[in-house]
Amino acid sequence: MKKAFIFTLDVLFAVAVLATFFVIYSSEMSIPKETYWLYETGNTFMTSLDKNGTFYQVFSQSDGNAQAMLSSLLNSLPKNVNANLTISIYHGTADSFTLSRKFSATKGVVGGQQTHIKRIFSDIPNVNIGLAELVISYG
Amino acid sequence: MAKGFVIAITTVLILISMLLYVQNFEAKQSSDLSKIAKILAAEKVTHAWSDVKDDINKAFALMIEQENNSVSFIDQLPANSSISSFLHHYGLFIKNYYRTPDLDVKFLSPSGSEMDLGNIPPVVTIYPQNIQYYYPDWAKRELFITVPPTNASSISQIFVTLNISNAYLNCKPVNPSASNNCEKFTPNKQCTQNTVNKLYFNLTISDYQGGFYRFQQNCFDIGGGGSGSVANIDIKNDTGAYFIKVEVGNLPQVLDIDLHNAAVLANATLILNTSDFYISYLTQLETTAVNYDTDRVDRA
Repeated sequence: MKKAFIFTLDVLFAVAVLATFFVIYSSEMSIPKETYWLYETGNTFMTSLDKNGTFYQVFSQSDGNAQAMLSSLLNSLPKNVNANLTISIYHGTADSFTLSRKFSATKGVVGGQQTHIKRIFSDIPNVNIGLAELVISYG
Repeated sequence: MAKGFVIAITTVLILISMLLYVQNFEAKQSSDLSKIAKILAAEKVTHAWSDVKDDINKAFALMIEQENNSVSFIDQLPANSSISSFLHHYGLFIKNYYRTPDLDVKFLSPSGSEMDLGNIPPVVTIYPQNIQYYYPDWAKRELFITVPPTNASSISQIFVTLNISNAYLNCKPVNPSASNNCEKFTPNKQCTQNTVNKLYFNLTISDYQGGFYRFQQNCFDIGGGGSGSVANIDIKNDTGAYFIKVEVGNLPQVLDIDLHNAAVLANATLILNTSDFYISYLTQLETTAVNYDTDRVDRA
């Protein structure tokens, strides 16, 4: 009876150690790849929008159209990510800037492990500078 | 008793092995995370550099290509906006809104010191010949190429192509009813057997109507003082007639193109007598991941 009791405790202890081991293994094993994938996903998204002139279009768009475009852009992200995209347009005056326009759109609830990516774009003749900021996380 | 002892020892050994394995695994994970962080930092540095470079290049509207012993300047003239005002504001914006505590962005002078983007002089220099390609200011209405007289022979040929976008050629033979010829250098300092400082200059002009003229004469004496060989090329648009002045020589000036009110896409290719040279660009752009030993410095 006594012997069986000790044996049961040994088994329980061993199971606990094994469970801990596998929890650590399974959780930490995936962190590097996930972090990298999240950044790459966000970066590819932002780079393509910057290089193909999508962000630049905001300078000439109405507020309504710009807002609608932002919301639709986020739909092109993979289903397993949530994101918040903000575009701020600043106008240079003397040695300072005024925030002239700002738009924001969200897909899902951004939380947990996040990556921040930003891009700058310019309307040179009118000294307007735009900043696009993306916060992306797993959904 | 002996059986229990063996089981206990075995259990302890298994536990120790597992703990050591977990410890080793943790260390490896930590190392992997560190590597990933460095890779991400390097990628962020590269992408930030490319991001800022795109805007700067658009503002300068000048592309420089170097191949063997030739350098080409592809240039939009004049500036279609206030470049200096934009550059000033862009530099401020980078400092105040774009930089983050872990990502630094700086504009460097050719000597490597940090500079205010608004104070970039509009000069590109080719070393060690000290050939300068520059404008009097960022309005880019006039373009000069100079070389010290001691290095005059370092440029053997210049090819210039001007594509006029807001006027058309108003000279013969492109426009037979025009009063002047396209090709008329006054003064006209052509090379002779005794010419010491020679420059082979090739000029081609086209306009938005499809007019096209290639100048025939091409060897100029660029020494000797006084003014160089001057061609005033007549052009016209809806607002009136005017001209583009092209002056070849005299040293240290090799070429002066004064556009007056013309808008052109200019391509000036310099053929040097050596491929042993380097170009000091308008500015260098440096992006740095502050927490990592990672940066990128390159011409913008």
